[in-house]
Amino acid sequence: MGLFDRVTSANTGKASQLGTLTPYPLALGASFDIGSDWYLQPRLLYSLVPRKNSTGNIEEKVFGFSTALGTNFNSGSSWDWNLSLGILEKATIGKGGNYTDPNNATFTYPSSTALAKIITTGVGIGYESEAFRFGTDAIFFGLMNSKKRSLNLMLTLAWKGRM
Amino acid sequence: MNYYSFIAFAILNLSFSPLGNTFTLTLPQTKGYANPEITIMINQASCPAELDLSKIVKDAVEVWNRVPWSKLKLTVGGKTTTATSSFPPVAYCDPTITGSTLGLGGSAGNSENYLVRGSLRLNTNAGTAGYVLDQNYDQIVLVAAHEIGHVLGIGHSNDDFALMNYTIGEKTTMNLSQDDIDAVSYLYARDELSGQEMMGGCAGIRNIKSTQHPWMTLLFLLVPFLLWVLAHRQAKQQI
Repeated sequence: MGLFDRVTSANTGKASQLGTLTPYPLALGASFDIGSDWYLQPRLLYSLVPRKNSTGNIEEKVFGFSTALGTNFNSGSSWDWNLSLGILEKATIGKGGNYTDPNNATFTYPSSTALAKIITTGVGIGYESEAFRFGTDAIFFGLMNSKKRSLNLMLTLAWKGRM
Repeated sequence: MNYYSFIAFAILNLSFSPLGNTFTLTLPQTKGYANPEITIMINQASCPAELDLSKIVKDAVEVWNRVPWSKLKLTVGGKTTTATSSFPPVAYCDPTITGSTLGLGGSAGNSENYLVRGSLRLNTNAGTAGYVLDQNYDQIVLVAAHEIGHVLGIGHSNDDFALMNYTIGEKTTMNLSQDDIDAVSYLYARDELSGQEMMGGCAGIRNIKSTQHPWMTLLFLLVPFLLWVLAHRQAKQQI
């Protein structure tokens, strides 16, 4: 599994972070009860603040949709867990321009938009208090391929209100 | 969960990353190779006996194959006598490189902006500052992986951590930075909604030399179960 050895932000190249999803998306969702102990939870995910470089030559954002099916550990338990399936799209928007490196070699920034679309799978756990639900989800990319598989961890905070 | 609830998820992604995103391309508007399944051929002719170019390139391509957002499938082919930019791209040793340059890589495109040929070469000019055998094996693989990036159409990044930074710097470990990942997923974007293998593709499970740690995932998947056991024991104690 590529959990901790994938992405580097260290001079040595040593891995120092998790996952590969970085435009800091925000997700909104709603939970619908199915019977007394099961729930269905559709979620919409979007990058409110796109990731971009300082000169604005490249912008990157994600958009996605997933649905989680969950249940309580025990009937009436405050703890629940879920499995989710979704689609995630990453848009890389190039705006052109040139870059000259310290060796005076010139390269070009991308000038068009590329869309990557992948299926995501996830497993999550949550604890529900009277007014809130706290949870964590592990979102897998490339689940079936041990070479491409990566993991993103997500923390969730939900507040409850009748619809 | 005995009633309908409306919830909002504030998602904090723990994959913190610098705000770099400064990857570049070798050619303006390049689209990469039309076929993302690329085989690199090996020309061992000018290599010193102690330099196993085939093994080096095999180890180097692995890092580019790991990106889940990318459809790229790099493999290493058989021997060739070609020592110039060609298709399939070729890797060879070059005893004419001078100065501190460890390696060179490049590609050429057609009128539709697709790459059609490429090559990478390692400096085997003994006595020059860039002679690759003055580096250790891991660093030679890093150099090869960097030059493969150029063969794929990726230019230099100004992110010091990136494999595609112009200098090897202090790098001793083979990993991609966010910039490298963004670059390869831009040029070879994966689209699992249009017939490409889903969830990374089952076929990828074969022929894999795993450099990763399955126990980490197993451990993580055990967390819900352990929390449930704890919650269950607490509930029993309360009774």
